[in-house]
Amino acid sequence: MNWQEPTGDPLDDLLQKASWPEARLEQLERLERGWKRTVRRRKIVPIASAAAVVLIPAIGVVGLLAIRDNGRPAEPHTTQQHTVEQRIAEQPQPTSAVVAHSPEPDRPQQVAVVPSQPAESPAQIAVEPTAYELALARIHRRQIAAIQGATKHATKQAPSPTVEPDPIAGAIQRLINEPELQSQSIAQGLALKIPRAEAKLQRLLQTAASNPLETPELRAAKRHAALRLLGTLATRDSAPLLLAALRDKESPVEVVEAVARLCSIEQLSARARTEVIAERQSVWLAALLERGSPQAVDEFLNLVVHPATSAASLAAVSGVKHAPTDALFSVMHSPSIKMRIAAARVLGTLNDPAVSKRLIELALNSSTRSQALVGLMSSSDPVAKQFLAYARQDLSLAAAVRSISHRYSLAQSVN
Amino acid sequence: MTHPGDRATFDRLVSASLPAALRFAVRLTGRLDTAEDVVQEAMLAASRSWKSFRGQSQFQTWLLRIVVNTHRNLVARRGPPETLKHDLVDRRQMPPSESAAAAELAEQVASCVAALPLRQREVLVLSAYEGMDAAQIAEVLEVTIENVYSTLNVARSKLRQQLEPYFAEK
Repeated sequence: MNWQEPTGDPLDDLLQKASWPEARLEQLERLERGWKRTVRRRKIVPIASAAAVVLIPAIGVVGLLAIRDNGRPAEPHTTQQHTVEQRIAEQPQPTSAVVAHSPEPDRPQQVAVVPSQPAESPAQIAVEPTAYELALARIHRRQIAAIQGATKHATKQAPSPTVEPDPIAGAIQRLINEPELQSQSIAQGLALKIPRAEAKLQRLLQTAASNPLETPELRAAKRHAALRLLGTLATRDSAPLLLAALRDKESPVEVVEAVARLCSIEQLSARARTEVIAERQSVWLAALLERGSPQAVDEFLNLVVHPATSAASLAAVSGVKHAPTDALFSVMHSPSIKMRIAAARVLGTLNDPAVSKRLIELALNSSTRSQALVGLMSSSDPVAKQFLAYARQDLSLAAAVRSISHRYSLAQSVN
Repeated sequence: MTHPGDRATFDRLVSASLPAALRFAVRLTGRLDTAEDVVQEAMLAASRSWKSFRGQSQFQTWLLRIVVNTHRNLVARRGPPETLKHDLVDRRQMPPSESAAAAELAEQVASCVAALPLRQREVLVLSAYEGMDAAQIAEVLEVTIENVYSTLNVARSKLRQQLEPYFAEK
């Protein structure tokens, strides 16, 4: 079979029609830059190594010479035979290797190291330096100062080659040592400190499992801590990693929360329906309600209505930080009785005095009384309880309270 | 036969092959972001192992083999990407404009190719989109030519079955 030639197979025509995501220009540029960096690094490293091999012993020799010559009386100078460079070297200056410029400005000249001599009196210099020589001397001194600065810096750094500890490794270690710490603040600090912290955590998680130098326990602890950090910072880029981590029942709650944040409403609803781990189901349900859109609220109320998920859904309401009360109150006017009652039960479960007051207003209106009373009976808020106590005594409300209480078995004692 | 000879030529060749490598990775992974990751890692791998390229194969074949291996490693590390399965719908029953239908078809074909098992996808992409013959594919994937034929056969049968509703339109 030679498929280079046209076969007349309609499948080939279809395959040619396929449209793939088009690579963006910035992606190509990014790859190009990355490749150039790789090539450049490869060129720089050997040069830098060679330079280090030459310079470090040279500096050492200079230092030894300086120590040996320190305090030795100066040789008498025959001033007239001195070159400009020698005279400049005779200027009071600290001991160091020097690079002097030759009088021809374009020809820098590596000169021998001149150990510092005790400063001679100006009278010993027979010929006064010219302006050019003085300028040259100034440049010379500046160069010496720069070299000394660099040497000092290098000497200071030498004992500790690892200057900056890796912030990600530090954050992971903190979480291992103190697991009760909130990963959120640490992860946010990390994100501020290093660019692309999320991508670095992803890479770390992908490679951590293969470090043979660590015990399995340490690897597991590190992975757990890294997942906590990634869960806090995760965007959609981390979704595959998070979903893979979710297969492990011991995954940290940050992973579950991250997936809950990234999932679509349909995916959240599906996960809430099928989840077997109660803690996770609670997270999915709370996240679904917190989305607050009419679609999310409808999905959530469907789960409240369903006998298999009803109890878990209502229990999850307590974990909701910002409940969409307005959306839930709009469902109180839904044509579906089941949905109205479900919304009322969720509103009641919020145990919020402000919600109770709105429910009381609806209970006083005959058209919305039933569902509002269901809501109030589902609440353990004192405002709701007080109103129900009054309603049981009130002639116009008592019958409705008894009827609702009987029909939905929602007496406050049950709650 | 293309042989880079020296390191500088090799670097230039890799740099020039970036767009082709990215295009191939996009077809292999079905995703732009993953494709970029794959190419980036493949470039590093190429940089490390350039001496292993002895000019016995074409430079492109050698580079694509690295991309394929990098992608396999990535799948092994990350697991297969979780994608939402969507059933094929017979679009003939819908009245959209022709261009919309064509775009839909193009997406469906790409989606079916992306859903093939890894080895079948590799063979199909190399044959249908990189224009390689069986011997070249066998070289890239380090398998026998017979294996290439049979894998391609399975992949094409699967696609033919999935894209059946669209054949009638032709």
